[in-house]
Amino acid sequence: MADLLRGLSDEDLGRALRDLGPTIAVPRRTDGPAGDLAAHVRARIASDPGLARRTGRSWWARRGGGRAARLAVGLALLAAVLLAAVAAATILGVPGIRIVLFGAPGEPVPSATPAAPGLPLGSGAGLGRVVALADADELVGFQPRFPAGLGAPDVSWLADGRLTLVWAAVPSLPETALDGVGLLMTQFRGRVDAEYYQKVTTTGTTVEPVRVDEHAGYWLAGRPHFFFYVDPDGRTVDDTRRWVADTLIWAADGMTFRIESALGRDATIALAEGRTTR
Amino acid sequence: MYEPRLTVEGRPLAETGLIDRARRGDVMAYEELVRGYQDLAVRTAHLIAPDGDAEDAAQEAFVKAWAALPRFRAGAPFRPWLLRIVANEARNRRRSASRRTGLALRVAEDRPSGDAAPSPESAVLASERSALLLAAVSTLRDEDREIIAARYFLDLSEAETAETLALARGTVKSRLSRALVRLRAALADGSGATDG
Repeated sequence: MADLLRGLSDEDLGRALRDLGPTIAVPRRTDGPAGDLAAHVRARIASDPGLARRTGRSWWARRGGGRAARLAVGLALLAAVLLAAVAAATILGVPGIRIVLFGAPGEPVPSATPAAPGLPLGSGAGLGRVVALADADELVGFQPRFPAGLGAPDVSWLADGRLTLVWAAVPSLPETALDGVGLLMTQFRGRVDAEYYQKVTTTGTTVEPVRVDEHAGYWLAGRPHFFFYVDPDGRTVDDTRRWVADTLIWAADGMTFRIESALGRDATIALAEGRTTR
Repeated sequence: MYEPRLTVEGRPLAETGLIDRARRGDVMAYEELVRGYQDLAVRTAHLIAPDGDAEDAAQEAFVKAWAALPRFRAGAPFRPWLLRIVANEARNRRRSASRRTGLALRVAEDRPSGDAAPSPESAVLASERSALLLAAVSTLRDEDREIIAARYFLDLSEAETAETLALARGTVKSRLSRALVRLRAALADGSGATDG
């Protein structure tokens, strides 16, 4: 065998090396969503003010802010986080859900990612991969729930155990921040007493405690925001990978649900309360 | 996840738009780019520094690439630009290691899908040949292994190899030629004698 290799021409040796390339094992982590490296990168960028302002679009950069200004802004943001965390834990008081306000006032709001023609509804929003609705139960390990009266979703997406159902915008479902999307409902298994959710918003986002059936939740409205949560292992998980608009979030029966819609608070809660299982 | 559609120049149609949006600060667009390149980046980091945490190196490289994106020349090939950052990150981690613990390149047990099922005999021969070849490559010095990895294992063009490894085009040819000579010597020696 070694003789055979030694006798190869340069061209054949090159071909053998090329053939070898794809067969080389690349160790991947088995703990955590290693396959979703992109989401981790996105989470790091979104949660690091130093990276978020690298485009020069930030308000302090345009005002000539230097290291001192960045430090001041960082301290102000830290104070906002602490204050909001205390408020969320003590005032808003949904067990297991802690919402943390965070953001730079005046930060320009990125536009929603335009949907590319011919791609599934919700493409480009970092929702994961498209899955068949019929397979969703088995893939996520729970029975998906649906808002009442909307029928089957147009597209189902799956990312790290989070199932997102997407309905197209129609006259009765006005378009959200995502092109062509009228409503998104994300659901995932969550241990309410062990997890908490960290929300990264601009200061223009309002957080209003609401009830969904008998369960506590929040209505988040105003300026678009990011959304993260920290899982029981302390890892920051990018729950949405985009700026999202008005959102209803609540936890019930060991599950967390989130609906994004442009219907307004009351109509969205009504949809949520009327949700039915398939 | 975008399905790359190629222009006549071979550049994915969607990629140019994603790069443009990412340069303007669109994190979502950048995530799509990362998703398209993450496997290649991890593979590259592993080939450059087999003993390191390739995923960690790739993640760090992607974050650095985001920070460097305003300096990316519009219209330039993105892949080698990105891989250069990945290679640098992997190299830095390799250099920062206190000692070399032995290279960890090995052939995957599950061959990539798409391979025609070989006969048992030819499968054994191919497996032995792959193991021998990879063992010989693993004994090479870093710069030899890098050029072989870029040009052959990753199947980059000469220009891409030059960009990825920060070399002149002519240096790619000469260095690759020397690396193959040393690889042949390692094959003849049948051991790690050429480890430099």
